[in-house]
Amino acid sequence: SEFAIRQADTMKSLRLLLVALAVVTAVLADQPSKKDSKKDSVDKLLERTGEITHELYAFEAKLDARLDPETIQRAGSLKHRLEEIEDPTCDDHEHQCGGDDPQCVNNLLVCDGHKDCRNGEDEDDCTVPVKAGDTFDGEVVFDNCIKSDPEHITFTVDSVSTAAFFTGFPVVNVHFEAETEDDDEEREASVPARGFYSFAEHAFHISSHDNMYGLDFYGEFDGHDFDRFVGNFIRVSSDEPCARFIFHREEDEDDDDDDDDDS
Amino acid sequence: AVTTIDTQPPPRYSSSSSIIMWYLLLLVGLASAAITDPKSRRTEYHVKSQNLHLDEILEELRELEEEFDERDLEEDTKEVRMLEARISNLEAEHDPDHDHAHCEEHEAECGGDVPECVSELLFCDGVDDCNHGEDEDDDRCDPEIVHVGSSFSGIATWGACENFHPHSAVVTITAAEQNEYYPSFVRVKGILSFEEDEHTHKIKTFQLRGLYSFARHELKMGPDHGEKGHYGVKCDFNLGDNDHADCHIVLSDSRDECAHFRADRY
Repeated sequence: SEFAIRQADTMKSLRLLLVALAVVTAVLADQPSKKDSKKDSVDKLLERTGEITHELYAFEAKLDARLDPETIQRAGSLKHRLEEIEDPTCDDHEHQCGGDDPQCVNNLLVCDGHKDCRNGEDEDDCTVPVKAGDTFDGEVVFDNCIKSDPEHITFTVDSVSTAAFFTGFPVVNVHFEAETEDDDEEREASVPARGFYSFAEHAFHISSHDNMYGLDFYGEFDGHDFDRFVGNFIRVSSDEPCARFIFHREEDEDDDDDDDDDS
Repeated sequence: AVTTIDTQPPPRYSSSSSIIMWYLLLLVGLASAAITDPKSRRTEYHVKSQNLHLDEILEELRELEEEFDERDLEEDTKEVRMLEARISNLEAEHDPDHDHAHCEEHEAECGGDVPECVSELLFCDGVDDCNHGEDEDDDRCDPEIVHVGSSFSGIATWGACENFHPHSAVVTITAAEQNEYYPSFVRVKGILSFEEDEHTHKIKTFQLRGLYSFARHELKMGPDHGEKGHYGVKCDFNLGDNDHADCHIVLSDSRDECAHFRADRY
């Protein structure tokens, strides 16, 4: 019987041994797969992170499309055209604060460093939209007073200076250039002139200097698009526009010159 | 050396089995240690918590998107185009320097940023006449606008000529031909029909012929040869696209306006 017990014992221990071995091999076999599954789960995590990042970017792009400054500027320009058609809401020498709460303030108070509009609009945007060196190319609309009958006139800003005590009207020095083709010779005329920029009207007032042939120049931005303005030459004697050019900002020289200029 | 309380020497047979038991214990210990390796458990825990973070971020993103969609009014480019067209039409009428921007008869606006007038006969002839070639613009010179079978209809309001109630009027193009030597216009034939009575549903139809001018975006038709009708039609495609027009029914001889309708292509 002892033998039987011993047998049973041995059998038991052998069986246990087998089980233990099985467990160990299972665990050992499990080791690499465990490593794999670890790698898998981390990979999945990275993949998910990538997907969510992608979604976030897509959402951000949707938001940016709403805030696109170019679209806002185009809408503003369209609004300006409407306002031009409507009757003026303020007197000649007044500025419309705009917004939901219309209010007129004198042009002299715009950008003087002191809020005069209830909504503060008159002090919102007081950076001169041009700097020294900026060049605009003007294309003729009609012209009854410029001697050489040019198709194009170039408007170049030479300097902009703001007086500390009169900030609403920075002084600008500019010069106009025109190429003219006579039958036999090409001539280039350059005329320096000076005047001021008015924040209230988004416009240049260039005064009739001796060398401006008795012409004033009034160049008006629409207040939203500062790459284009309408320039009128005005006969001082009659106060009538006698020539009009549409001016477009020329890209910097060092930029890629890929605008379709057919000069 | 294991000290046992049992002073008796252990029976021999059990020594092997006890060794086996020890082995067993050792192995089981090893195995369990392997299973519950703290490092791998920590990794699992990290992965889980990162996944939870991601879930949270995703949920926040979904909420934001929902909020955005509630406020989102798609910018309808077509609507913007029509608004621009309406403003342009008003500008043309309103322009204080009318004399400068407005073109002579038989001339038309190039339509670029810089106002410019070019003879109607030079539009869509394959040669750039406007400074920036707007006269040869593909959209402008698309004869599809009056392709055969085009139909424009709207509710005509009669102000003169007839005592009709407002009813639908239809202009249908039945023939269109663009002569290669005269490309600025498309010669068209068409039918104008309108109801004259809402009870009898009696319909009047008129055979018309005329021209579509690319320069003016304008369709003008009068009575066809041998037709007795005295009505003509003038449609202005000045609403920003090729599918909407401002149409008038006119007396063909005096050009007096009889009725007006906002026509949509269908």
